[in-house]
Order: sequence, then structure tokens, then C-alpha cells
Amino acid sequence: MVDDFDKILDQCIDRINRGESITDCLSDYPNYAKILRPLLESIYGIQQVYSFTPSDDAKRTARQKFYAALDKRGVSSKKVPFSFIPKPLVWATVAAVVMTIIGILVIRPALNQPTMVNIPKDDSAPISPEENSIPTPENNIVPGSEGNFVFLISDEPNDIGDFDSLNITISEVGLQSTGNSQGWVEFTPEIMTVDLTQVQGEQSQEIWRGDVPEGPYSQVFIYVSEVKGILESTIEVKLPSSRLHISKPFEVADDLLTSFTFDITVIESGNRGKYILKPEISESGVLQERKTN
Amino acid sequence: MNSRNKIKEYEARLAGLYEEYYDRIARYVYVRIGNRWDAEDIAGEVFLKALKSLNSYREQGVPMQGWLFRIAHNLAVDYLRKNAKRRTVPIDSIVPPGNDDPADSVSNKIEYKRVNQAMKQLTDEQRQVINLRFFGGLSSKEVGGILNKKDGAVREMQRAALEKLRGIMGMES
Repeated sequence: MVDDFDKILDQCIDRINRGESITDCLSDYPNYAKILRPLLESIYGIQQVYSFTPSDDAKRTARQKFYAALDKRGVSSKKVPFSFIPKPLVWATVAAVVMTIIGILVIRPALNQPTMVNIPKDDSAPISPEENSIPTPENNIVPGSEGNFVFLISDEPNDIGDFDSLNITISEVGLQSTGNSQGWVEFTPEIMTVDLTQVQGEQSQEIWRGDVPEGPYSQVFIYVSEVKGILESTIEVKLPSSRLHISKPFEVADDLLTSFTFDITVIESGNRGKYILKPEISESGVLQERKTN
Repeated sequence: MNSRNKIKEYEARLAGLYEEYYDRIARYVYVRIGNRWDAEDIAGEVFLKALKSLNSYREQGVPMQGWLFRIAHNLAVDYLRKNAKRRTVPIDSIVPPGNDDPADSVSNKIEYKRVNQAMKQLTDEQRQVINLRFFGGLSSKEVGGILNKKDGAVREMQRAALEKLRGIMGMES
């Protein structure tokens, strides 16, 4: 009896994994419905909580690394039987590479312009048609001149005193907008490498200035591509992840200059000589002032 | 088939599994480590590691996708071991998935913690069964192959785990 029930439950789980509903399964086993339902509903609850879809970027990067490694072994995709490499994947990869090259060539001169991700164009959204079009060098925002947003890096002193220099290279910054235009605003810093020993405590380094859409934001990411510290010799500083992330809501308004300082601190981990970087939420935040122009 | 041809066949099969299993492995790892970005990185690493270890792959009861989950399990264990000593990201910066709406984010966090606590009260094998079945999307037979258990034993663990979770989380019957 128990074994029968285990098999029925198992079959229902297989069906749910294939996309069928709980009701479909229960209707096939009315005698067991009363005990099946709560168990199947708990599966649904667990799947909801842990469910996430890996980002396209991560998947693309991993795919490229995988195929590069495959090619390195002397197995080019031509040698792989056709049935194992779906043709759309090949074309998708080619298309992605071509688009990336075009993107670099076209958008590279306009790195100061934030990239809007998944933000629908809407008349009420503070994105002008000019901002939505591909930026040209003429309409670029020059860092240090105008704009409603400034991004700065600072260091809360912990173990930074151990270093002669500690250079971090930030390849990209992302702000999550939660206003009318929801999605990610991303920009590439004009100054990508910051020596944290030079920005301790009250000091900070402006790395980007420009316009971002007006409205509330909830989170800030910085993508750190390299960390190099110099004590007596060059050492590698560990990152908990290549993305340092702070959840701290703030608001951008067009008539104000909003400066967000992302504070990073370096601490020595348990073993001597090993250091780790982490975002310091308590020292990070926004300063706003009226625009003078 | 000589060993060289066999390796080539395995390489082709591994490439064929990438699209279908990358997401599942990332989810499986995410449930284990609780960090979605590192889970994505580890999922990519699983395929690279599998490629490097193809010479040692033996098709004995465990299909290749099961082998990938074994690699994922080992990498997740390594990750947790390394990170146990350096919990460096403050809790404020850990965000559960589906956090586009801040209001949702708060309720997601609460629900995430609740389910996570409940999962911790399962035995390691029960957690493995739940994870491989519901996030890896593997069949009981495949899970049995990975855990060296018979199908019946996996089904029994699965039911016991679900009953326990339901009890801990206070779900109404």
C-alpha cells in the first residue's frame, strides 16, 4: 500500500516536472487525492522559493568557455555529430559573437551613456528619444561636466593600512530601477581602476558622471574584474564574488545631483596574509545637492 | 569502439547535454549554496570539469547527466567548505531570486528563510533526493544511480522528506 502510494507520488512528481498541473495528477488518482495534494503542493512551494533562471549573460559566457575548451581538445564543432549540437545553437552563437562585435564598435565610443536593460520605452518614463537611440560621440556626456548622477568609490578603513596599494578594476556598474521604468541601468566607469588606499574614510574617487533615468532605485552592483594588492610583494585579494552588491534604496531626481558612494572595505581573513574585499553597506549611500547649471 | 572514439562520443554527448542541463545544474547548486551568481559560475565549471575528466568517465549505471550532478555536488561542497570561514557578504546584500519588486523581495526573503530552515532539518540524503528530483529534474532511477540506492528507496526517501517538510513548514493538509 505504502509502496503503491510512493509510486503514485513519484509518477505525479515526474508529471509536474514535465509541466503538468497538480490537478491533472490528482484527477487520475481520486482515491489518493487527499493525501497526495498537500505533498504535491509543498513541492510547488519549494520550487517557487528556490526557482531562478540563470541569466543569459552567465549562460553565454559559460557556453563560450565550454566550446573553447572543447575546441582546445581538438574537437571542433564540425567534428561533433550534427545531432548533438543543435543548429540554432550554432547560429545563436555566431549571432551573439557578431552582435557583440557590432556592439563594441558602435557603443564603445559612448561608454558614458548608461545602458537601459529591460526598461520599456514609455512616454511617461524619463527616457528621451535621444537617450534611447544609439548614442553618438556628439551627444555623449563628458564625465566631470553634467549629469544628474555621480558614482564614487570609497574605502572604509579596516585592514587597508596593510597595503601600499590596492587596485580594483571595475568593469561595469549596475543600478536596479524600481520606478516606472523597471530594470537595470548599466554603465561602464570612465575611471575603471581605483586604488583603495587613496580613498580611505571620507575620501572618495568619482568614477562616472552622467544622466540616469529619474526615479527610485533599490540595488547597486559593481562588477570587479581584477584586484591587485601590494604589501611587500604583490598578492591576490579574494572576492566573495566578481559582483559586489549593495541593497540600498535611493532616488534620482533630474533637478538634483545624486552622488552614490559605493564603499568597499578590505579585511584580513583568518589565515595571515589572505585578504578579502566586501561591500560596506553602512558606509555606502547617497548624497544629494541642487544642480547649479 | 576504441577508447579514442569513445572519448569523442562522450565529448559530443556532453556538448549535447549543455543546453538542457546548464539551467538545472545551476538551480541544483543554488539550492545547495544559496548564491545565484556563484551557482551560475559553478554550473559552467561543472561542464569544464566534466570535459577535463572525460577520460575517467565510466558508463556504469549512472548516465552522463547523473555524473554531471555528482560533479556539481562536489563543487558545491568545496564551495561551502571554502566559504564557511569567510562569510563576507552582509545579509543585507543577499537577495533571493525574483526580487524585481522590493515588496516581493521582503516576502521572498521571509519565505526563503522559512523553506531553507525546513530543508536543513532533512537528512543529507533526503535533501539530495529533493534537490535532484525537483531542481535537477532527474527521475527516481537516475537519482538512485547517483546515490547508489534502489528506486524504491529513493521513492521512500522522497515521500518521507515531503511529509517532514510539510510538517515543519506547517502546511495545512
